[in-house]
Amino acid sequence: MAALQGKAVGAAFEWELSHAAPASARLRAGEYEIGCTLTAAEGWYQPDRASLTWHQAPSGSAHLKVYIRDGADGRLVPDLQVQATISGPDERQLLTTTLPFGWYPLLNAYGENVRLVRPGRHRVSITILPAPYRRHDPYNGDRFTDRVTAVVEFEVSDPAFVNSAPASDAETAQLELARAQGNAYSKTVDAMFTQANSGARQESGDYLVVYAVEYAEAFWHYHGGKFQYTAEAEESATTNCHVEIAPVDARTGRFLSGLHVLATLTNSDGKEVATRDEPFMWHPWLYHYGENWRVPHAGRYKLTAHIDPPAYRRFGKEAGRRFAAPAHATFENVTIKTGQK
Amino acid sequence: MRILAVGLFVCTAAALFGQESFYRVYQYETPLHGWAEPTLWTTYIPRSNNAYSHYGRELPREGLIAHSAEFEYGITDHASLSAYLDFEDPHGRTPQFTRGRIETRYHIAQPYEHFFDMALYAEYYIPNPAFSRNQEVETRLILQKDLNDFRVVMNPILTETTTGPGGGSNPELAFAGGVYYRRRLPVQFGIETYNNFGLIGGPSGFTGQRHVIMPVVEFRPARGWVWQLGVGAGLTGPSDKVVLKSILYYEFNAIRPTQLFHH
Repeated sequence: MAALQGKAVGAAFEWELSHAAPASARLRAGEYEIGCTLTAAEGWYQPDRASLTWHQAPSGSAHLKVYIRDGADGRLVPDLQVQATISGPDERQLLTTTLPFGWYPLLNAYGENVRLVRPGRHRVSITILPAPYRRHDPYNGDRFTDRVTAVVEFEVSDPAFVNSAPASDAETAQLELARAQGNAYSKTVDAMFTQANSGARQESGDYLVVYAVEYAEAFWHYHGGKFQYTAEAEESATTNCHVEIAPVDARTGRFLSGLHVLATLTNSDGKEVATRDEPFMWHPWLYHYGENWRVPHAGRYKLTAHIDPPAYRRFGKEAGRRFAAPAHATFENVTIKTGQK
Repeated sequence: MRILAVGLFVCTAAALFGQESFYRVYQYETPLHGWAEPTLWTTYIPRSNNAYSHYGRELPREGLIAHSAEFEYGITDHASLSAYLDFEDPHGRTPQFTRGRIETRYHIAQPYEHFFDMALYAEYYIPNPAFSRNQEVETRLILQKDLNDFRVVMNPILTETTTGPGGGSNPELAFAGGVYYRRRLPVQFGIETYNNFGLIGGPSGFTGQRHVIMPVVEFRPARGWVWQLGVGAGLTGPSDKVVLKSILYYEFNAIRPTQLFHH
């Protein structure tokens, strides 16, 4: 399942690198496969309360994008902290910057507009900090725990990419490659439904909201500078179910990372059981937002998911005008079975 | 005369069918693949009217302290392998090695897939020849059911002497079971029962069998540590009157093979 998603990401990844060539590079570092491109500066939509504000691409700049894939299965690795230091042809350091996560029409990446000085060979030193989010899978969950540094170099003939259009314009036309990623994720959701106690999908504006409920599960969590596997979820009935929410782009089906997700369970009498934040959880084959809950008993509940609009930039004048409003989905008659797995 | 003959038979039968030194109701879960659990078992019998054979000598069970050091390792997701070294310390004497044991457990399917979560258990006893010449095999069926915050566990047990003077006798039938309240993590309470019905086909009625009821409490004082304490009361003559148990273990994944080579 993960490899299927990785293959679809791989096709988009290859397109991005070949489209940006020769100002593109790839390498493996630590547990990651990293792709790096320099293209024309990008404008973006910035979320501003309930709307989106377009910011024009800064003139005389280029857009540095870093794609980070799981070296094992090829999926994008979300919610990382990425820093880049760019040195020019004279090896003088031009800038050091954090590359924020951004939504792109074809393949999400960590990107920023940067000002390059002159043509020539540029060196980009990329530092990836360990991702502190929770992880399922007792055997493979303690991954992405090391600080990784990678260095790429490539030739830049036009530091301002004056004669180039933003890459996001061409990405917008690659709907098939974008949807291939969504289809692979959707197949994985179907597989999750076969093993979960309940699950369904519901559209809400630009989003498709997926939920699944399982028994309470153990996971790796970051504590005191290291990851620890919390077997406690299996050893007591303190929690007795696991609620998973997976918001995806309704147009392409791609998973949306970096969101604030809130879930509410209401019992059959209409009384609220609880409202909880659902943090991102790395999963060996299905990224989702999830949390262990305690419900009073097995039975049927109402699940309401509220998802705030993403705080990150959306690139692409045509395709990026999305996710201005929050998502809100209500699922009735959600079957919850209690237990610990 | 008849009463004496029956009394002698009861004592012999009690000596024949395995003397419980360690009390545990085995549950469905096994350690994860590559995880390890070292365990220290201690049993103290402060009150008993029974005797037992210790290195060929008949000694009172009252005052007996038994220890076992166990090391369990998850060899797959579903199966574990354990090795035990047992020691006994009769009242007023120094601990002496009595036997080794090897044990394997295998849990079937995934939790909650069937009405009962089921696992199989097999253990082989290899005594110190000076202590006993009877090797034994013990098999259990582990049946577990979660009912909201409660867990019910049953272990029907068959033990057979495979070699030595006791070999060839009928298997011995026993049962261990427990109900546990698992609402909180740090402290959990339960009640266990240990029942030895004697040799299959043997004549012992209830009063000739061993039955112990044992309330238990389980602590999790720190991550990875589990400590179970129990106080048992014997319900029949052949049972020890009072039994105290302590099982202390630590769960860790420090020896996962992949971690040995992780840089």
